[in-house]
Amino acid sequence: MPLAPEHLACSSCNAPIPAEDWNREHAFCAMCRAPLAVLVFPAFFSQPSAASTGTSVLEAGEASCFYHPRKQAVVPCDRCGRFLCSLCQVEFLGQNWCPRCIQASSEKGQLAQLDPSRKLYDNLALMLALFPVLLVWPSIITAPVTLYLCARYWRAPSSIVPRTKARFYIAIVLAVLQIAAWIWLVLFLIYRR
Amino acid sequence: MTAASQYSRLPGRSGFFVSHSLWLSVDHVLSVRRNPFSESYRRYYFADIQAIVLTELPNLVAPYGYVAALLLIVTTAALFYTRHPAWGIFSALVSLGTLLWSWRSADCSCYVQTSVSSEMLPSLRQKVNAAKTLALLKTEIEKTQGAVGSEVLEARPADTRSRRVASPKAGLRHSSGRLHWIVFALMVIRGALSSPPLLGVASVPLNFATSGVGMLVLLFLVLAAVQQRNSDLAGDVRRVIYTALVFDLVSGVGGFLVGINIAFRLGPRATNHATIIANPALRALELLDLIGFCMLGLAGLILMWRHQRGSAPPPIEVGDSR
Repeated sequence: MPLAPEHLACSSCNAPIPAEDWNREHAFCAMCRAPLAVLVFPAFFSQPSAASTGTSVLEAGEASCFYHPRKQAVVPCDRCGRFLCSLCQVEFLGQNWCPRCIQASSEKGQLAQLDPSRKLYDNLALMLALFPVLLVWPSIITAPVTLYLCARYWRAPSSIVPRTKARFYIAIVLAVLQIAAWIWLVLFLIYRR
Repeated sequence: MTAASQYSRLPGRSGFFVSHSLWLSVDHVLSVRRNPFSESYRRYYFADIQAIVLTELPNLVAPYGYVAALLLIVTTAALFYTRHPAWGIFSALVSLGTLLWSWRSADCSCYVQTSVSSEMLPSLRQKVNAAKTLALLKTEIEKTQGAVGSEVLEARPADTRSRRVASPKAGLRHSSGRLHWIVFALMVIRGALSSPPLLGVASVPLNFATSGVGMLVLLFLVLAAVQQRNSDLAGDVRRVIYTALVFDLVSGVGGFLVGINIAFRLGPRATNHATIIANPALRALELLDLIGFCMLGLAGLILMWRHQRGSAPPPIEVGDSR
């Protein structure tokens, strides 16, 4: 729902909500009469501050930014130690980081705070253990694949919200049971003769 | 503190295969969209949240109640007509499903605004949970930003207080509704095609026509349901499409079950048209189709006519010649 700044709109009919109705106990949309609760916070009224572009190096011998040699360094990166100008300085997790360290850590999956998405391998393993059983015969392939998935991704980062490994355990138990059933069937067919 | 342990669950959840939930952290709220194999995250930092708007939606549960009542009437009539307990079970299951659906349906919507975006929070779709979550979020955001005093609201310049967006439906796509006219007309035809078997008339061309129109109805219903999303079509028209889609699917499943039943019961005699259409369960199903499709189709046509009459541009006024 793209909106111009300084506008708050009713999410039912998209009519603007007048400021008189903000932070009020009981408010109604002027257009569709739907009851509203509009919580407005001080950030709504603050103007965004202009970003600093860094100060130029004036004297020889002054420390300069690693990424911008003509800009004066103001702080070292707390991770790699490189000098940074105010343009490159990023305050992150209470420290000063350079953009390259943030990018590298994010690519390695070391920063859960920046992850936009995660794969749920435990769900994948569970479904692979569960659904092929309905057709019976695919489980001869999917059961070992399930065990492989569980072993391969046991330590892989899962959801960033609390989540147990219960799905992995259930998938392993189901896969082992399926493999045991297939072994029993093969032995039964061999020794029946 | 690990990344996972810093989050605590906030009330509210939506969806089944694709679900949404909100999680509270020390400095932000995390919106999680989960599908069976992955999760995607959106973080709203308390320092960046400008506003949260919760709107109570009109009663969306009522149409489901009407559908449940209609299905109950029709299936109860079928139960008395055929004296077959299957219709009682079918009636109970459909009503239970409809009631569960209505219980889970949304009664509010909520969005969060920051300086760069305004995004819906799909997990806050029920008032009770939304109120609890907003109370928690308000406390946390005010810890970070402080509260807005009434003098700040009063001091807002008059021009920004009274500014209006161009159209109340800005952001909505215009739909001509042509597809909806077609689908509603097809539904009436589909309903009408159910009447000959009730009168004892059956033929192969009629079966082909009924099946063809039925498939077209399903296809157009799906297309209309997709097309009407974020469009400026009236809410009532959209709800008729969703209801008709559910009805068509229920009717299709019912027809499949009845067909299987007839095939098992009649065996080799299942090729005789006269024997098949005399089956009470099939007659009850045809009656259900006749009433359901005709009612929904006619309701859709009337609502479309009302919608287009209401949204038509006003006639050009001819100036006074004097």
